[in-house]
Amino acid sequence: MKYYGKEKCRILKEIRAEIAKANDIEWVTSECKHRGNCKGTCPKCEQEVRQLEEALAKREALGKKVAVVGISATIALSVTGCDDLLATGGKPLEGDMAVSTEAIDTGEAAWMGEEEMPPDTEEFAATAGDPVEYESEMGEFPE
Amino acid sequence: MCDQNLTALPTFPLAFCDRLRMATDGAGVTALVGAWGCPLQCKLCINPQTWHEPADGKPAFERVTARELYDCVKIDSLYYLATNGGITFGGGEPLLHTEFMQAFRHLCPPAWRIYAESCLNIPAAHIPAAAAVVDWFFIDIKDMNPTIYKAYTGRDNTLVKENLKALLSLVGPDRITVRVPHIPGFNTDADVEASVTELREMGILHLDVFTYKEPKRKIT
Repeated sequence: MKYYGKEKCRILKEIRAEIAKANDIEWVTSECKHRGNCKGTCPKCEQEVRQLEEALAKREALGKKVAVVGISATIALSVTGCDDLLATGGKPLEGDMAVSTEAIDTGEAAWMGEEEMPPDTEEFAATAGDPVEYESEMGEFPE
Repeated sequence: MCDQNLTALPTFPLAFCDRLRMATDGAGVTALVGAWGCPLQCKLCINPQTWHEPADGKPAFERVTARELYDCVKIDSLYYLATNGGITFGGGEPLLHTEFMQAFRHLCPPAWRIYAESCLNIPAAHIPAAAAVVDWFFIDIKDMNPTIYKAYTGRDNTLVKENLKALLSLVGPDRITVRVPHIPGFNTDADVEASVTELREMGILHLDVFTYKEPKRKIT
């Protein structure tokens, strides 16, 4: 199963809430007012991510434990063959980790694909080469 | 932008970067990073525009350093970390750029997972380097029958089989998924079954059998 648009947005929002909860961060998110399809993220969602990063960094600076790695593993996002990797429970991860402030730099990170997010249709699937007709399709070159 | 001498750093011919993918080509939330350039010319390829690197300066073509790519994809780091996701290298053929991938691995948080989609029709020297940095491989085997493989890709698959054996010996069967497609017009159910049998005999445990869709445009 692939996720697009509002469904992707819902899952990402859920992940943000899980991260907040795991770190005792008070987290209030407002309902998205956008009507119709979206690309799964938007400036408002991105802003929430940055706020969460800042809250985690602040927590870390206070010497508190920060737990991020694998905390959303309950959301079934595995594909064929990767179940074992998930089942390692974090290998080579060490469970709770200090979040690198570099890794979550809230600066003006440029990112590719902003203009070329996949359309909200099932046509956008992706692979290293060939079109496939199953759930874990690989990436088609973005039009 | 990295302030080091770029000519001394390995770069990656970036064809596209697709953020926030879920449950496809790797566990968790991933970004699919595609390379220009492929050793194969598959008849049903949906990304023929990635076969050859365009000349520098063409729109959408960019060679990036590991630092530059990292700066682009780290925006979603929290999602990767929380879901055991990370970066999926595809293309094109990403394992032609293992030196770059090693540099990227050193830069990104160790908890990011690195996935790679490869046809393995690449120089054998890339295999140990790939084994050292990739957490999970998705191998597009096409068909194990050399005649079918050549008809479909235009290339011989001797190197593919040797590389798969080498990879298997280095990382074991639990970090490899081999995709075995039904290829309309090129193989039969019996051919696919024969490939599966041969792969199982090699020790492959994770197999994905599926059917290619025929693209809107066919490559002759």
